[in-house]
Amino acid sequence: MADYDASSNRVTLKVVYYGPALSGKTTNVVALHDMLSPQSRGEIMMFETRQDRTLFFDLLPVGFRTRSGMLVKLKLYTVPGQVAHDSTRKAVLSRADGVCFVADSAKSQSVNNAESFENLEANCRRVGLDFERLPLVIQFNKRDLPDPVPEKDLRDRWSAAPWPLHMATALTGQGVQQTFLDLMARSVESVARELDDIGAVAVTADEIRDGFLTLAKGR
Amino acid sequence: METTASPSDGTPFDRELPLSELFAYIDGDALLSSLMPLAGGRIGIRDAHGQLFLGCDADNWQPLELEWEVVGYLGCAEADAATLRALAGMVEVQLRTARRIQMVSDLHHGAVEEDYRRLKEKNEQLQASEERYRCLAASLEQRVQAQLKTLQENEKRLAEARRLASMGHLAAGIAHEVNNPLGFINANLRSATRYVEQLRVLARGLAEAFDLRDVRAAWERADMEFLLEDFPDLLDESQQGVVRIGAIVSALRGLTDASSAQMEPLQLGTVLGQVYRRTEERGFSTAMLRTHVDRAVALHANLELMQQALAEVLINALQACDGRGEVTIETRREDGTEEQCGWLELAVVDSGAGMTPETLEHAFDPFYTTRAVGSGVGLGLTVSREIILAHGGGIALHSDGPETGTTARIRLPLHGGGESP
Ligand SMILES: Nc1nc2c(ncn2[C@@H]2O[C@H](COP(=O)(O)OP(=O)(O)OP(=O)(O)O)[C@@H](O)[C@H]2O)c(=O)[nH]1
Ligand SMILES: Nc1ncnc2c1ncn2[C@@H]1O[C@H](COP(=O)(O)OP(=O)(O)OP(=O)(O)O)[C@@H](O)[C@H]1O
Ligand SMILES: [Mg+2]
Ligand SMILES: [Mg+2]
Repeated sequence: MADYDASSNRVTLKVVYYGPALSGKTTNVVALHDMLSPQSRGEIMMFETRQDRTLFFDLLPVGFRTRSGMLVKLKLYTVPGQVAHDSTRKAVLSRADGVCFVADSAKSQSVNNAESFENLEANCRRVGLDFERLPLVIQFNKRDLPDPVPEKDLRDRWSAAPWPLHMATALTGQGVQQTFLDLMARSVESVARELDDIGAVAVTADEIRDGFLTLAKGR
Repeated sequence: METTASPSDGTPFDRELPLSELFAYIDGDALLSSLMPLAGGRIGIRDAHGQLFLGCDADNWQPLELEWEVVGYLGCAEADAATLRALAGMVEVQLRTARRIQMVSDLHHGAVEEDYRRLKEKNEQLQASEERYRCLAASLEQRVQAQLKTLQENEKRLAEARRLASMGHLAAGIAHEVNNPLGFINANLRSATRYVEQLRVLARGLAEAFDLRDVRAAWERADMEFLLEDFPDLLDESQQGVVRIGAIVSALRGLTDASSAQMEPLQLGTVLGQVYRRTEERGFSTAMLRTHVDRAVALHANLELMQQALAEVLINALQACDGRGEVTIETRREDGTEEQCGWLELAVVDSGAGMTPETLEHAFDPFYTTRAVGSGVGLGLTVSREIILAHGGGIALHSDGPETGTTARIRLPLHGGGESP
């Protein structure tokens, strides 16, 4: 839930990278970190085990000021993909304004992808997020694998679903920015609607979206 | 819009914290005293609103920034601007570290509590389902017991039916075997009676025709006078015996049929009508009979057999009263449950001779009778009981002793349960 603080003239957004273990969520966020200018990004927080498995979460803070001087702050999280960390996953997902579901393109990972997606839906229900209305984009990562599930198959399989599909290779950064900007566009729209509802803030969706666009280009 | 926040206490682990709360994770005094030598003087920290909350107040202040926002100020009277900026940077590092610690510890705390809560929930669910299974097991036990009882009852009925069948078989055999000789003995006796008459005619003729002294002497020597006198009585008595045997055979027929009788739905009124008719035919007046009966009650019975069974009981009662006192038939109806059919209880109450304990004990035995020789066979109650048993019912006699009257209670299953023996 977008958080608007009038006294400090600040709006805070939260997006979460969700998905099965080892699908490349952390790699996505690290790639984004490298794409953003140092002024617009805060210190990345990563809590990992020795095997590079996310233990609690990764957090990349991003921020910029609109022309009117309002601070727009984005908190970009990844959840731990391992099944055992469900309570942590749930806490991190709580109050999200948008979700990027990072799936693994390897043929062997279809079941893990599906189970994690079901888990996302279940946890949305648990933390009170309306899954039907949640801004959500799907990313199929690791397109560079020798024998990934063909894109056509994926598009056929997901054709009935309302969410956009993105193909990416997070390791090289390919597709990471497009996924991120699409997610921001959708999240910002619903956040702007929310803020408009409470009549609290003089900021338009376009303004915030433009902010992120220039951020991404600005490096 | 969603409203749920952090799992445990409602405050999300990633909420914005004011400086004062971040300092909960920092040893503020230690920090200040380690910075003091670098600053060259006493230092102080103010929060975002400019309120001093640590150290000493000063004139020049350097903002402390965390993620594009000023969260507080560091002040030192002695330090120059560049030193102050460097010192603020060091405090900011401390603040970021505090922030990391706070987020992870809150998140971890929440997750652990959430895990605990889920475990507890699962435990409760397990306990609930265990409880359900316990109840189920208990009621299962009950159901099994009920089934077992039904099975045992069926088993008993089957054994009873087998007993009745073999008894009927025996009775049928006896009836058949006895009936044949009975037929020709009866016919022969009649012929013999005729022959005696012919002998008498012959004797008279001989006496008139010859009047011979020798013939007369031979006649007297043979005691022909007594022979002709006694012979008809003898034959007469034999014939009575034959009639009696015939009665026994006909009573045995009731046993023959009871085991394989065809049952049909019958109203009690129909059965009783036939009972009265049969009783009258056997020479007993039903004039003194009173009834309080539910004639509409439906039974599942064989009309011929049931009327025989009830008639035997009624006749006994009428015989016990011997023209004085009264006989009453009463019925009571016992409604059934889902598993069990209802019952009809029919009582034949007489104010007659009553019964001694010994008679009560043997009344149902075959050929047991207390009646004068020749007037009772002792099969009435035997046959009655077999018929009633074959209908899935029961009969019992009750009497407080001689001259106190007798009550015969008959229980019969009502028709309609679908279940019939
Ligand atoms: N070939 C290939 N490997 C990738 C790609 N993206 C990530 N990986 C590798 O996949 C492994 C897991 O990546 P992470 O980003 O740590 O995965 P994660 O989703 O954060 O995993 P958890 O934190 O355990 O949930 C690492 O070895 C990455 O190098 C990709 O696009 N192609
Ligand atoms: N209502 C009654 N009051 C007193 N005694 C009875 C009554 N019913 C039966 N008894 C006793 O039980 C005996 C057995 O009865 P049961 O009907 O079997 O034979 P019975 O009446 O003697 O002969 P049958 O009925 O074969 O002509 C009777 O002889 C009588 O002593
Ligand atoms: Mg990770
Ligand atoms: Mg009798």
